[in-house]
Amino acid sequence: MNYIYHMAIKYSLIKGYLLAFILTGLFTSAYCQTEDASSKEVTKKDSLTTASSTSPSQEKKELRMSLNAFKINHDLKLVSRVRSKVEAKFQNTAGVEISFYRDEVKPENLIGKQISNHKGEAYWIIPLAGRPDSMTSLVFYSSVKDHPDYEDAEETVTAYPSKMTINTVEEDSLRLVKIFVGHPDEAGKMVPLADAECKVYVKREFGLLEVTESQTTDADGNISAEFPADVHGDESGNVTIVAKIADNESVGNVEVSSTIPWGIPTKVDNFYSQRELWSARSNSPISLIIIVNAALLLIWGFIAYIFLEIIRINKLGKTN
Amino acid sequence: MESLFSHSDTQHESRHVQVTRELMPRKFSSYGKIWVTTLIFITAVGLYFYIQQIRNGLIITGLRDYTIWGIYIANFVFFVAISLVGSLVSAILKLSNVKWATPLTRISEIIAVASIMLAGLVIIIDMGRPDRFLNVIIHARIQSPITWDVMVITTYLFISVLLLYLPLLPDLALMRDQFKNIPKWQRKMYAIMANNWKNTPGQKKILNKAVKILSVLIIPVAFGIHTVTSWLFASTFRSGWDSTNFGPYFISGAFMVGAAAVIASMYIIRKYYRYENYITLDHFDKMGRLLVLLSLVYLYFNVNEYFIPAYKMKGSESAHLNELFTGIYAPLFWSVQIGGMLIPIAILLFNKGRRPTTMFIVSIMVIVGAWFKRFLIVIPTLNHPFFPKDQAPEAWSHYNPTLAEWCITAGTLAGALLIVTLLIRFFPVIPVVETIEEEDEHTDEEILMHPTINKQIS
Repeated sequence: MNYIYHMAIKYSLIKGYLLAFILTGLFTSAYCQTEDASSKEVTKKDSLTTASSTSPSQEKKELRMSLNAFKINHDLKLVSRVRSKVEAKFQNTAGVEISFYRDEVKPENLIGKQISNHKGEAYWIIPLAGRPDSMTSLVFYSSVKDHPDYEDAEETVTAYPSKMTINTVEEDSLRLVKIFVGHPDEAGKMVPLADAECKVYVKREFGLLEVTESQTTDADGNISAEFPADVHGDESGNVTIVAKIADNESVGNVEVSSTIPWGIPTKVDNFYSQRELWSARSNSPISLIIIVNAALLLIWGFIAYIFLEIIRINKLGKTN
Repeated sequence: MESLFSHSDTQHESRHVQVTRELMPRKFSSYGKIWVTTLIFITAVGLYFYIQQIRNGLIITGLRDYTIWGIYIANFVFFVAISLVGSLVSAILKLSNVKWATPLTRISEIIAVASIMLAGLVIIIDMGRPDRFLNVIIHARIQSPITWDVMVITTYLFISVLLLYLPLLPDLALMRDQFKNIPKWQRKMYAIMANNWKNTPGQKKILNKAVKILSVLIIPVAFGIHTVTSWLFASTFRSGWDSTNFGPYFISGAFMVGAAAVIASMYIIRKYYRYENYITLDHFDKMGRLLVLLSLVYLYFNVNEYFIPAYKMKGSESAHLNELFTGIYAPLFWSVQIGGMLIPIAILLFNKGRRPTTMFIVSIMVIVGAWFKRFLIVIPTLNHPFFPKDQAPEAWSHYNPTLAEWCITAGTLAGALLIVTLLIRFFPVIPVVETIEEEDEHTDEEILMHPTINKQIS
């Protein structure tokens, strides 16, 4: 009887604790759900939208797409960008799979697929060197199809054949950047392109620095620009000169580059690359590494020894 | 199997039984249950707000670009400080052969383990992205005091747990052998934890050696943990932190608050379990004297810490010091200095001040003062950066902890108390076997010293 009475008390206590935990859990989850709705509102305000799965009943969003082709040295770079509407404004859309096709949107013409990045852009690079079709116009497509959140979108671009060369010469203490721009005529023969606007830049850490004023090619397709003497290069004075033509009717977007030691050599301050206290983790002072590790080894060695002693106590107990 | 005690005559045995019965852990009374439920509730509220913090980020706190360390870090420093008591009582006093501290060793180790566990947890709470915690270890920069802190906290936690566990072995064996009417899981837990302890001379020898090693080892690690924590501040060029005094200043403060925590726990345990025979008035008197000594040392470091910068009043320091002495933090600063240090010293200097109830009140004053002292160390300095506050919202210049921060902090404090409570519930808070052995030794000494009894024996 006494046993049954004790069991009953124990059971009622356990029940009480369980009820308290369940109630706390319910309260927490209810609050979390209300918070869920408000946190979604916050995400919406973000300038960048991210593709996420929506329920089938929800309407798909309109997706705006652009496609551009850039001939960079001996490669062709296709850049497709997707944007969708968020709070009445078109924003870059990340996480959308974009397919690139040649000539027509057909499975057999698929070149490749890429997911759009935080700028809403996906890239595909096609090497042109040695290709027999590099002297003819090429048509490319980018497409988004059957996406759960967005409507289908498709865009096309034509990449025109062109020739652009860059030469660097020094004449009477002047440093000149000589550029030639050509395009194929109707017969397919490469002829100079006149009146093409071209800009000359120098590659910097985070972008391009324009070093000459924009010029247009003469009747022979040539430009000659003076390279300034005060541009800083790397440790050896190397600079990468970039010549660019943008949105030209005949050749589209073309870019060539050349590296030459025309810059002022930069003295690299290796203050932070020495093994000092203020250096990065890869340059920790050897003495500190030794001291810290020795202290750790010593103390943890003792701790390991104590664990072994605990095992010994156990074994001694078993033998008794 | 050897007897757990060295003496086995009838008189001794009945005393052994009495001591064992009195010191064994007991089930919670209704007060105990209310206490545990309250702690669980506060911890649950803290946990709830922490879930909110994970969901929404640190934006729900009062932390902004200037005050990047708020009450979470103040609370972390507080926990680290309290944890130092383990080394004070279990190591320093034990190695000095201070016998009266025996009943207090386990209390202090339990406090140390609970607070160092929570200190580690509070650091994770302070992280905006706790999912990246492992990066602190994977990408550790050995030059950073934060890396040293992670290393030393982990090491100290291990040593503290071992120092709590190893002296507990004889008591665990006692519970394994004598506790019959307990749930199966509890019996199994004691059996596993007792680690086949049979009280053999070989086992005793190993145990004594291991405890001695740990007692020595914990002292540099304990000093290390609090010195490194002080370096988190002192290695930064900021008003109020740029001090070579910080290591000893932090350690002395930690010993003071740790001793106060032990006194408060002693009082509650003595009252709740009726341990008047084990935690005597003499213990309170001695701990009171110890607390006075530690408080005076801390007072000395406080004078150094504030008087010299105040004497010079360098441009960058003056704004910080003026804010503490006469500005927005002045009421809190003077309350902490007077209420948390000067008044306790004044009370404890007198015999009457070292009585249990008075000492309990004094120790609570010291503990509360110590918590807010950490607040005053962390926050005002952050409000005075050297670079100008340009184009920053006005609100960023002030720090007001939010309800979420207070609740999470209260949750961690309740969590620490919950760990202490649960450890006391399942393990003897006063070492049983050690107490009996010491009593036996004492009796033997008395017999040898007593001429009549000595004659009869011979």
